[in-house]
Amino acid sequence: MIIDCHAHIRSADETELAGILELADRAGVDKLCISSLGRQWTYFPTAEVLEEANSDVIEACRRYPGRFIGAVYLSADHVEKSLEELDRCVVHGTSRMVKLWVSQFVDDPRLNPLIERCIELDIPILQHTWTKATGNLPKESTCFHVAAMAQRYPAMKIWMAHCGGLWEESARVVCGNPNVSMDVSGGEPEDGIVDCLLKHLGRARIFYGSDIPGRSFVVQMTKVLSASIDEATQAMILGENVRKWLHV
Amino acid sequence: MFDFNAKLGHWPYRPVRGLDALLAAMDARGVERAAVSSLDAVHLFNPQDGNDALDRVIAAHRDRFVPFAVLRPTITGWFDDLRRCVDSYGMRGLVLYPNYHRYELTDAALAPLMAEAAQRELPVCVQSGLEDPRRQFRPYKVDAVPPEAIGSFARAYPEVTIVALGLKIGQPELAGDPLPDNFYFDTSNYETMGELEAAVPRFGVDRILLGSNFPLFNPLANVAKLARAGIDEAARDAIGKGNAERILGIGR
Repeated sequence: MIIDCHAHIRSADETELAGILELADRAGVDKLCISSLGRQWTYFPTAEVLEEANSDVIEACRRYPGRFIGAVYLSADHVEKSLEELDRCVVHGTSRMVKLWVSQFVDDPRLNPLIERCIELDIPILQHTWTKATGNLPKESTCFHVAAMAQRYPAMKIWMAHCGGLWEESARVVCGNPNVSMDVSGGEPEDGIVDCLLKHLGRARIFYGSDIPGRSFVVQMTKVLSASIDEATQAMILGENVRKWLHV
Repeated sequence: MFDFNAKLGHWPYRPVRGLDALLAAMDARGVERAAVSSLDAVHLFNPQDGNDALDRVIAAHRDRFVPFAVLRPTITGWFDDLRRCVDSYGMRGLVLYPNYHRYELTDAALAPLMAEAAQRELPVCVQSGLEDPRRQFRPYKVDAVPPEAIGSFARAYPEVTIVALGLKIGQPELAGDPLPDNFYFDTSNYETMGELEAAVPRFGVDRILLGSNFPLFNPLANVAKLARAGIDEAARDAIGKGNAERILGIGR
């Protein structure tokens, strides 16, 4: 089973969802972990934007329960609302993971109660992560923020999106934290990414993801398909690893 | 299939694969031939050292490769380099790196080179972005060549086939409206959800070329992009092979 661990929807519009699934079918993707960053992306979402984004994800998952796995979008700027959203979408809903983007560094102490709740619920966190030569956004996490939070909460499960951007360094920074995985989504289809990650993380901590709609299911998957790995390892990275983390 | 944008050589910032890997990938995915140029020539003081090395590296595989010369028109002796590459090495296209080699596409030094390209019917490739700017080596950041500049370049030299390499989604249209007739672009860094399904009706199938950007990109990415695209077989054939062969006069 191929699971895309990192996909976005902009709304629950049927044309959009059907279009995503048509291309997923063509790429052989069975399930997609979807989050919404709001209908108009803003780096610092309001509580209302969080709720609307999460409602769109719930609606998409309701319509396609066999295809979409929902993520709850949270922010340290709205802790009470985020705790409410965790209850609404996970405890009383079908969502299975959390999405954190760029409204805070992931080691921001304001996130502590949210992390503790995720540990109680046994749900993993997908954290956008980059180290950019062009300069990070004001609250854009790097691999060092992820490592710090993973050390503060060894029981949490977190996966670093985009293999941290600077994958050669990010893999070395988090390799000693067994509660951290990395997804290969986004960025250009550079050669050798998965082979590099394998050296540092082992095969159970690498996830396939696309970062659609800005990227392509197929192109991003070739990061895995072009690696020098056996079929069992390929199957783990393409879906089995994240399936275990999500209990789906 | 024909890969219009392969490179061989070293890269300063990470290890990259070479000839054997390229040939193996071509064999595995049905890529019969590739236009190949020197990656070393991007950074060498004298790009011709890269062209010379490329000729030696591919000598035993000339049936699989169509070599292109990397030229820097601001270096003394570029014309001798061109002559040696084309007349002695049989190179059939040129590749320019205005950003890495620090000149503008409007530079007067380009005029004699472009006149030579026109006379010899050599396509001229202009590499836009070669690396993800976010992942560049911090002390050595190089901006991409803007698509607008490549479009203007194509309009300035209408008798030469201009191929923009490495354009991203949303960039080909910036080369002009309408696009110059002699303007082409490769698929190597052109990516979004359903990119070719949108590009074919928008730009026409005749100006899009399969390109891998090997060894910086994995050699499967663009082959898979083309194979899985929801376009008809005629379009797939044109992008995957026919356009490249037409530009290079193969089979003419």
